[in-house]
Amino acid sequence: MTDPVDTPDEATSAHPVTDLDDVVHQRVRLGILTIAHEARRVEFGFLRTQLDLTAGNLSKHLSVLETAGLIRIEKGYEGRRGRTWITLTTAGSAALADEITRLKTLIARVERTGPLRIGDDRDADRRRSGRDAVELPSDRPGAQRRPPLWTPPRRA
Amino acid sequence: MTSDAVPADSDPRRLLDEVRGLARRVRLTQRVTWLPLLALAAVTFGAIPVSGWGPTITSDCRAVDGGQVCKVWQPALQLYWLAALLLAYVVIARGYLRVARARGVDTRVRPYVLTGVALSVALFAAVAAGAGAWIVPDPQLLDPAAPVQMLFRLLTPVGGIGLGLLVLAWLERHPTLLLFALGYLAVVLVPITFGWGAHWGGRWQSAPILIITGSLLLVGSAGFALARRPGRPR
Repeated sequence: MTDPVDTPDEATSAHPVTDLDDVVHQRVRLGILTIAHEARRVEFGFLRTQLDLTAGNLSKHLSVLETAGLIRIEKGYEGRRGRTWITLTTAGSAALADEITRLKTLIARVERTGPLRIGDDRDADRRRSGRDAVELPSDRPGAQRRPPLWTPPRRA
Repeated sequence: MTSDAVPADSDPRRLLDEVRGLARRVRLTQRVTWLPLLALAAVTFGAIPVSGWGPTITSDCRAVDGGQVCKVWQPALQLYWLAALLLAYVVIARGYLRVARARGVDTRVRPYVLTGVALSVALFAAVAAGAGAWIVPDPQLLDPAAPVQMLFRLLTPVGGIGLGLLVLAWLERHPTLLLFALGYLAVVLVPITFGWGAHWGGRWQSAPILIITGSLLLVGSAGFALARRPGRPR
């Protein structure tokens, strides 16, 4: 029986999910990279406010990104006030662009084939059964939803 | 069902939406739109007395069909535009950086400032070289066709300001500024004579367009500043 949805190339190629980079794909780190990319250079306090994180939590994520060579951290003073600035490196910019491309590919694939199944050859399983085997957890009724990465500031 | 579910973090549509929301939020934070409009309004108003009282040098007059064509050069006005616009773009660059950095982000104003400076220098050089005569031959220069008149109006300092604002709107992904810049350019391109005909006002003939465009920039600056007030929905 022929696959009614996937092309032969898609059937044999790795699923886009397998290409996702865990360092970049994590939602807070993806947010940091996005803000740093858009802002060119961003201050620690701005990141903390926008991502609604504690200083310690944000520092841990920044440390992961810095170790991976995706951002550069500069510390300095403006007057008496200490300021920490975060800049995206070339590798960080490329990693962000790759991640966005993969997410778009993933969405396009979901739209073509229906909800995803992640795991060992589960695409083939779905193709064999001819039905959608798995749904994204966030689409499930009663699934616990995380707060959004960014929420607009509230008015007092 | 499967035991190997995609974590909620990884819902790609939601992640992309959040990424877009964050990018938009940063762009809003970076904007200091009122500053260039205010600086350029001040420069435009400053040109009014210089255009009225500055010297006009007429040279190389020659007869053509239906009249006479001369080179007209207002050195004080042209030098004023060049110096004032260069100063304004320096003020805009420094002000943009200062305000955006105080908010915790950097800015992308440099291409706008470089475009503005390049346009100011190029337009000054074009006027100084008498580029009008290169665009149209002598007889038509006496009474140029409407498209040529529009081109001449665009290639003036006030036209250059509008072209620069288009670049700023593109850099900031700012649809409201894009609409404003297009409206501003429409005002620059439309002939404003109040029915008095060409050359009606002698040396003050450029005052109305300077007052109108300067006022437009000033009103735009006030509007963008009010729209940015803390606590206002954007």
